[in-house]
Amino acid sequence: MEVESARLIAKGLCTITMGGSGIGEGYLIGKALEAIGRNPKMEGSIFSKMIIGVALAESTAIYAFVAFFIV
Amino acid sequence: MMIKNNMFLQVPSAQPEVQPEILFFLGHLPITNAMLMGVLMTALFLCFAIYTRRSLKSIPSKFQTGVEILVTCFIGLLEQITGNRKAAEDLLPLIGALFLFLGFGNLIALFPGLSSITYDGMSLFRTPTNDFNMTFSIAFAMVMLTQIASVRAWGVFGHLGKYFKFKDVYLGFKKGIGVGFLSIIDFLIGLLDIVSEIAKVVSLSLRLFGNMYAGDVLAAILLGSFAIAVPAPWLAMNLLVGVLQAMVFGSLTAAYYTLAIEKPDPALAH
Repeated sequence: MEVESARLIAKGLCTITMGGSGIGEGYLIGKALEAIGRNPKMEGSIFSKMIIGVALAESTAIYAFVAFFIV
Repeated sequence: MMIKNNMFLQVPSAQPEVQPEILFFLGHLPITNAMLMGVLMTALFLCFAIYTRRSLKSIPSKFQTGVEILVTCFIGLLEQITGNRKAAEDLLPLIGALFLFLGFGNLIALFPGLSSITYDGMSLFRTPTNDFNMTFSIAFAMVMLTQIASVRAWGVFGHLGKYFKFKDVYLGFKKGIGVGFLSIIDFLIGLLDIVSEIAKVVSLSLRLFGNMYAGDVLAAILLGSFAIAVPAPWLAMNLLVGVLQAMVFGSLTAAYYTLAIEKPDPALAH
């Protein structure tokens, strides 16, 4: 196999991580909405924590992105 | 130094390099465009700090009120993370400066026209956090700080005892064989914590760098395909991401710091 084709396959594999990040963020936001539904008064606090959580969950996809460009 | 007149106020459509461009050499020290921007921002913050300090009055002006609101926000956020007011006030100078520097650093390249100023065909300014050297050195300094704080709170042997839990194994086997074998697992987990300290540096720095770099690359890709309307919302999203990542970086540092100096709960000690 040529180096260039191996590199393209590796880049394709890197994009698979989007799935994991998507599942994580969806779960996080769903749970946060559930919590807001139970206790709407806490919305401000829950929402800001959710945003930080989403940023943390997204960072795994960002690592993959960095790997995508290093490969 | 020149300004490209054909694309002033335009987002650069060429994909940015991972490494910042070297503008010139100062002795043997290469000066990159990200470094230049970082130094410029530090100077700006210095002026800002001196001006704020000098114009303090007991009847605040609009400017001073704004600064005070900012400081109160930071203290509130830190109080949520550290759990008490005193620790929040102790951490405020460091984490507040991190918030401001990173937040402003992430956003500064979005000023229209700034990236169009070129020197030798290279952009003179680059987002300072869009440079892995920068984010890595900040993250490394912050993790070293948590280590030093831990040594100060626990003493040298207490600090090393967090990673090499010989004492727990000894006490465990004194109690019984079953507890002893469980404490061996604890010992291995303690060794893994050394790896996690290194992973903290890598994850903190890569998170910030990756987000900023991704912003630039995606803006360039979008601009290549859709010239007019589509890149604008993406740049607006960059505003959100920039502030958010600065907040995440600061809060994580504060959380690591709090965890490092935390005294063990006597109810949980075994």
